[in-house]
Amino acid sequence: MNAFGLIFSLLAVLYGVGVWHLRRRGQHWPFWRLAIFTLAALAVAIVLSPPLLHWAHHDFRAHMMVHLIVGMVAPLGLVMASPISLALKCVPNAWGRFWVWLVARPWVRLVSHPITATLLNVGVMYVLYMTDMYAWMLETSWLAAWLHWHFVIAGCLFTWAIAGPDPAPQRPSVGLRVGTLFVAMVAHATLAKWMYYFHLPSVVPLREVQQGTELMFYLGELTEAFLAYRLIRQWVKNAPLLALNKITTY
Amino acid sequence: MKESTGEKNSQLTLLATILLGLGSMAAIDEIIFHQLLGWHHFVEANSSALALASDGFLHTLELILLVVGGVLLLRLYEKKLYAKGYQSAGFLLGMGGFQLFDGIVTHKIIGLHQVRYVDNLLLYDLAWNVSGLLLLLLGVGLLRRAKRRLAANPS
Repeated sequence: MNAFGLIFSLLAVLYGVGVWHLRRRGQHWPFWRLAIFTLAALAVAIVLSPPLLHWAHHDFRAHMMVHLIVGMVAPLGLVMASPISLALKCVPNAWGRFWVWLVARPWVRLVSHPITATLLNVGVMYVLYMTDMYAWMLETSWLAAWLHWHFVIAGCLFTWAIAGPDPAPQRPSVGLRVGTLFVAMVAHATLAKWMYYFHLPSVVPLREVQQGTELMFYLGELTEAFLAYRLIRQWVKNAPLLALNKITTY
Repeated sequence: MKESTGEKNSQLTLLATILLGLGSMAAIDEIIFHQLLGWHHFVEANSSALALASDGFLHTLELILLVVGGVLLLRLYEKKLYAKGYQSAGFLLGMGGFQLFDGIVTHKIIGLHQVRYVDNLLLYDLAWNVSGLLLLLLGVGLLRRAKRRLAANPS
């Protein structure tokens, strides 16, 4: 087991303890949230375990699968399970005030803005696959390890900035978020097609690049479509004609 | 001029199902002609960077429109605001409209890809566009019927 396995198993355990704590106080917390968080955390722990990482290091299709899971699929589970909301219910109020203070900081708002999150996510992919960085990463173990962290964190940041359920004060309008998601999806799809056609990264055999980028295109699209569903559903529910007549509390 | 609620619902129902039809046809094309038959490919030979980017753009647009249409129709059902008879009309209009757009603009004007890479392309283009036109005409017929019914029985 490596650091990824340790930290993500610990996160899953912490989430479980939080839910147990709430239940004991008689408060409700949906079971599906516990399920998706645990599954997503275990998925990251498993695909970033040493044997699978070793395989991904030598086979571009495995590399792509690992990145899709840690950067796109798992963040959906980790973010949609509202871990921050759960944590805030379990800790003293002072911590909650600290969280509110923290997310109001200008630099936090800058980093968690949908456009910044897109640049960190898809922008870094362009750099990784279209420059010599991929070849450099294959030879440099610390860079490889950091990139895994980068894609997990940037994936969660992006998912949260676009359609995350956890509280965020002064979030950009839904229109801007739909637009940003659209641009991110086009950029992701285009990158996949360019890599396929122009044989990038060039250190990888062409057949592996082609199979890897098809995975990137279709699986990436599936997770983005789910994100779009969540976001557009919020949008439609807030439209005056389509909003609920009576006030409901969730 | 006051717009009645009935009219508004029919317009939203039409919008939602046109988007759904459009996205579904795009998905059907992709699955049948690309995945199953292999007539055209993930990336065609002799592409340019710009053609690939516009391909990515159109593909994403189709997917987003499919999601918007689905979410809108789901909401109309939840609110019981959908207009009867307009769903099938909108769906066929969207399917036919997409097929024609794909056949004329994507294949012929922009030239992103062809229906099939063979010598006798005209036959394939004709079949493609005529089927699109038929779907579109069927949609127009259903729309006129739905409008007649709404006019006869406004509720």
